[in-house]
Amino acid sequence: MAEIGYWALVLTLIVSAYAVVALILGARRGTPSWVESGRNGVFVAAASSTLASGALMVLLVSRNFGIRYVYEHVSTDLATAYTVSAFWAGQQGSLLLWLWLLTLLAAVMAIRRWTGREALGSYALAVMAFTQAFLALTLLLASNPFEALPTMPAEGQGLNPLLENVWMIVHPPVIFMGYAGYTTPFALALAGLVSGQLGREWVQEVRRWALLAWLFLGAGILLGAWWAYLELGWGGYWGWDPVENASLIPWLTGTALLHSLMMQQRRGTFKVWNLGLISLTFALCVFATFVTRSGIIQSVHAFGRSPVGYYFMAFIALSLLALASLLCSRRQELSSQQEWRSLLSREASLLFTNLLLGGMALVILLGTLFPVLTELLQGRQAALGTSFYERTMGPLAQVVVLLIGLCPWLAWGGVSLVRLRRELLPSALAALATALILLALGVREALALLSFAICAFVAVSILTTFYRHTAARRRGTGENVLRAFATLLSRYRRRYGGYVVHLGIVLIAIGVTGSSAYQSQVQVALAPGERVAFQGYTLEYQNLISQSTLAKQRFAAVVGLYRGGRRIAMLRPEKNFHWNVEQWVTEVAIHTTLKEDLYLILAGFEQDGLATFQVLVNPLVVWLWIGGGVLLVGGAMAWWPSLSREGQR
Amino acid sequence: MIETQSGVKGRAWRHPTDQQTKFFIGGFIVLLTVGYLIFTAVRGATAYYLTVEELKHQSPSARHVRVAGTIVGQSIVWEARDLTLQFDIADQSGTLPVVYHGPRPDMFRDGAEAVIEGQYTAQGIFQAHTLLLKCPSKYDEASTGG
Repeated sequence: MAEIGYWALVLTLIVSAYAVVALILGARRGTPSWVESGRNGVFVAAASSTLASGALMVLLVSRNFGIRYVYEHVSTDLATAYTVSAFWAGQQGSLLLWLWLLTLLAAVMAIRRWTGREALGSYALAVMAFTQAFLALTLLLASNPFEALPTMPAEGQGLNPLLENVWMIVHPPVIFMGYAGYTTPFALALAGLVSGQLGREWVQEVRRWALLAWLFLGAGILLGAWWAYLELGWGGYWGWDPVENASLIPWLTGTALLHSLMMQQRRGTFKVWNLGLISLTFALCVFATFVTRSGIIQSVHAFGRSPVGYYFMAFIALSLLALASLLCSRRQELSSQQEWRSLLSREASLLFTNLLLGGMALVILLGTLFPVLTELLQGRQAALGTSFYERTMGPLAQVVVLLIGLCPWLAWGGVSLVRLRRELLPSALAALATALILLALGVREALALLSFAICAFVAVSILTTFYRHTAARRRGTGENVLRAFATLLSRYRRRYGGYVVHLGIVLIAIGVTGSSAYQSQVQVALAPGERVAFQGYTLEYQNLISQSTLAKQRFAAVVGLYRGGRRIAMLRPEKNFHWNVEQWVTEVAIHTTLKEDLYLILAGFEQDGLATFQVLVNPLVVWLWIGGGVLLVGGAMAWWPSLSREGQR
Repeated sequence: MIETQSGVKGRAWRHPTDQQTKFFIGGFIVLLTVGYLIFTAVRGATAYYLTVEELKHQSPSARHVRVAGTIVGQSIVWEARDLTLQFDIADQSGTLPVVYHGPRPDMFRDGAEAVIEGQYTAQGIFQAHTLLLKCPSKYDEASTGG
């Protein structure tokens, strides 16, 4: 099976390389037979990488410990679902997954008919195939998942217990789909430059793929944050760790891209900017893999140093060089005249959104690379604490959210200040009312007040937009409220999808503000039967359960949670000793309500049953996940192909 | 809004109109703000990596520093009741006593590689505010993705 996998990889490399040559030759000479042959190469590559992935999957599920990768990530007692997820638990498997997703995307592109734009399609496929060839080569030379061990071990090392979580089964494939997904816009960028077909259809094509990749990357980041919250047991969901940062940076530039693409579509401007942003986002996706693999940055995620990082760095350099030289040769055709008229226009808000999102990406990139930079400049490493991110990202994010509130009311070309003031009056009043109510409730932190006021402003702004448009449609057609609103949503998916995404961002902002500004915690040691009161809750520690399984020695504290004299939940935080890694793993217990999460950690226990708990109350944190869901739904709405021409507007 | 004639066609360099100047100023302000935020935040949040020896040669100060080293097994004292963890970490240059307040991390054990951030106090004890641990080498690659 391992041989099949290995030779399937070799085949993927060969046919991908062939496809690059055939597609470029075919497009240059205008010979359809060469293009056809190259496309077939892309299909064969997809089939053979599927075969390679299938082979690794079979090896993992059948627990073939003679293969190093299987030995290192799977054990006999591991549940079958996790033997599947072990596929992406290590470097070799992750890279193979990336290659596999990429070949599938390329195949989808190859199925499409590029009528009238054959050159664009051929060159784009060639870039995809080139990237495939690069990944396949890296796998074969530096990171072979099918490497055999000299002897057959009786038992494998098993999976890191932290990865034994449902969200860890889905998080890596989703995030890699995001990374792989940004290859397509990049391929279209290079192909557009080579073929000169950078018109309206090019923008639509790029937008569709960029939005898809953005959705997956966003979903992946959210799932990762959720996993950290449930599994890592420190009470938070985001630690500004280099690996987390590395996935957020391309998402921010990708968000900027979606906005500036709108400028190109509506105004024919920002062409060079968009091409640059596409390539930057793609390079940052590759960089994300590089960061996690090269060991250049100290991270809580420990990774072995591996030459793979340097392959990736070379690839980033090559990609950016290709783009830069193509941009230079095409600069005459790409120049555009922007008519900058009013600061109170859609154009202006999109421009500033771009600058702010770019600024946020830059801040995180700088923070992530800070140890490397200080070592280069000062000869000694320094790291930035989380306060760096809080003090920079906080204000920038607030301004971005505020701009979201203005967005629905700013027309292309500009609106008058008088009109804007009138239309934003309800939102401004809502913001003021929110601030006053919160003040009356005893909220004193200026930044939190400001943040909640902005959230109220934006939410009301978006909702009044919905209301106005629905009312206008009802006047026109006489439909009832629900029908009118539903028609608007389905007819103008792009615009309303965007609004829904914006609404999701507001909910996320509420969750982040609440949980970061008002987290409270207490540490207590309790004997069985003892109680502790905290933030309106009473916790009663009943007893400690001990249980021995094949995989671990399990210790669970049984804790009754009371509120207002009534028991609302039984919580069972655990601390388990996993035999395979000889390590303790803490499993937290969480009681979630819309208002706040009670997050209970079993910090330690002694022979006599005395247990130490850390109790946290995280206000509003559930809104982060709800907002994330809303954001994804909105994104999917905007992405969904529209049937009518009207929907394109 | 006053309309000015900024839509002049042609490729030649045009002097920016008043309207365009507003945009340049606006963009400049955004960039300046980002720069200012970075500058001020960096000053407060920077923690240099020091070796144990370098740290001991310094006078105690409130400045945040980071020290990386290996946890010395025999030195670990864990007070579960008040969540206090006392231990030594060692690097090539020496050994440093550390106090940390909080739950004992799962990966905390003899020989584990730790990065501590905090202050070096007058008593010669390192007061750690954060304690980061790396997975044991066996699981070098165990944690992937974002």
